[in-house]
Amino acid sequence: MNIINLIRKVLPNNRTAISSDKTEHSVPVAHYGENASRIALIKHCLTSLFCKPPKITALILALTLTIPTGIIIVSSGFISAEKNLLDSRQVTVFLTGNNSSEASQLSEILADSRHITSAELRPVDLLDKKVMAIDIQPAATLDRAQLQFIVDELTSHTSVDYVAADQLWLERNVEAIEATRKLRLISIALAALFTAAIVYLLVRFDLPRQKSDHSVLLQMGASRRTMLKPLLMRSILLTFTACVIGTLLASGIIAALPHLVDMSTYKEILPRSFPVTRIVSLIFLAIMSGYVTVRLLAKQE
Amino acid sequence: MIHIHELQKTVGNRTLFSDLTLFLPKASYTLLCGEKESGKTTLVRMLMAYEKPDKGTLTVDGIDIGSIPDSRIPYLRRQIGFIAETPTLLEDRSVIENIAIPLQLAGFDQDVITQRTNALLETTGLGKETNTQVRTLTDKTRQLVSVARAVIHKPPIVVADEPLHSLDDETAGLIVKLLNETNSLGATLLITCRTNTQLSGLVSSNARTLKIKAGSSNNNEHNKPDQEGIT
Repeated sequence: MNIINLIRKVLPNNRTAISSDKTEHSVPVAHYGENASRIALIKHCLTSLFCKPPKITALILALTLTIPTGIIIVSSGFISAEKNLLDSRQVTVFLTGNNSSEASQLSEILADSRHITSAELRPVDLLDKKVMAIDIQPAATLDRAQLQFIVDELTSHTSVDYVAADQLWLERNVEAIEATRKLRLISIALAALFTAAIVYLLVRFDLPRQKSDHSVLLQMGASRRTMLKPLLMRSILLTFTACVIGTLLASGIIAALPHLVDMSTYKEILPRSFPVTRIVSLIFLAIMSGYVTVRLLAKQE
Repeated sequence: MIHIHELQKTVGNRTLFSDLTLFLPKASYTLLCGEKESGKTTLVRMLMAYEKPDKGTLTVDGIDIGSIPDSRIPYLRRQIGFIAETPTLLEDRSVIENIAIPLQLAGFDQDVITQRTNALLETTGLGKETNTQVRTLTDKTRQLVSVARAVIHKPPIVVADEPLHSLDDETAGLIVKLLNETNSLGATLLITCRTNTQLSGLVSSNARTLKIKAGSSNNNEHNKPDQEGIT
């Protein structure tokens, strides 16, 4: 057959030239190009990520899985420690008499103060007499001077006999609470950095693997946007999948651990329930980290 | 179509071209022959906008390569069907997927892609390899895939950088026939080669041969293409 006729069959205005009795091979829909299908893109990314992942991808995936468990346990530990410290910042006001109405009136006044978190009235049975006492929980924001001022004010009150507050202990508690809060923030920031680093490493190690494909497509006239799309999709899919699986893993661990270990040791560290909102935030954070990382990398490449 | 005017290009301390002037009109057929490291591939790379001229101008279809913005490069490359000495293919894809790339990048309809790809598979005799992954193919079949991919979208320019290197005569004949027909359909064709021995008798009768001499360091006279060598 004359080759010129065959070439002419390739022309778009000559479609009928193809013989109908020939087997027509279908061309898979591409994930790149002007008319690229989004489904094809997702399918391509899922296949390359999970059907034939390189070792480094599998390793990074495994690391990513540990993030939700780690962050929840660390965060819950700090919250628990902070609560314990707050509970121990207690000032007890011993009243002069046993007049319960006067005591409850004072208790209500104290409870309404913005410097006091709670005030609980209780009878105290001393050796020689019965008196009323009010347990005050100072606001966590109070510093040493403010606490001292409140103690002095209460002491000067006519119906107050004695105010029990260990200043040094209170001061130490304030410092400990501050430190706990800072540590909690640091741990969350570290988790975010860790997530970003994982995604960065994944993309960094994954890029050379894709590089030969990229150079071929660039040679054919693919745009940078065309190249970027699968990378973004891969990083989003990877971080999303890893975080979802990690969440399930974390909830499983938290549910199973009480049956496996002595919980008297761990009950203050492990959360009682699984905080879904925090995990959703984490997944969002991980996805955004991946997105930003890939965009930055694409600029470098 | 391709206009090179007083082109200068130095790679390292070696001057490849000092005053190269060439004009390849639309639908022309040009063989650019020269020894190894004479600057053939560098010229091809400049045509594809991988490199820019040091001095002078190089315009492809009215686009100045020296000042082309990055955003325009993909559009330029889609105008050029490129065949490398060693085929660069998507290794984990099938033959049909590789051939269809230019059409998919350009956004052709799936029907058109299927139709054109099948026609070309038949032309090149690659039909039985349609779904074979290209990494399992022999060198000559890979080069056929590369040529089919370069011409499938009917680009106005086809550039082949030593396309017949280490190929048997039968495959070389098929490739040159394919290129001849592409040229006869209006494409401007530039083929680089070390000698035109393998090409003689195969290329179209309207082909002209330009010889480019191997350059030596800072010796500009030796780098001028031998315009007298036109056949």
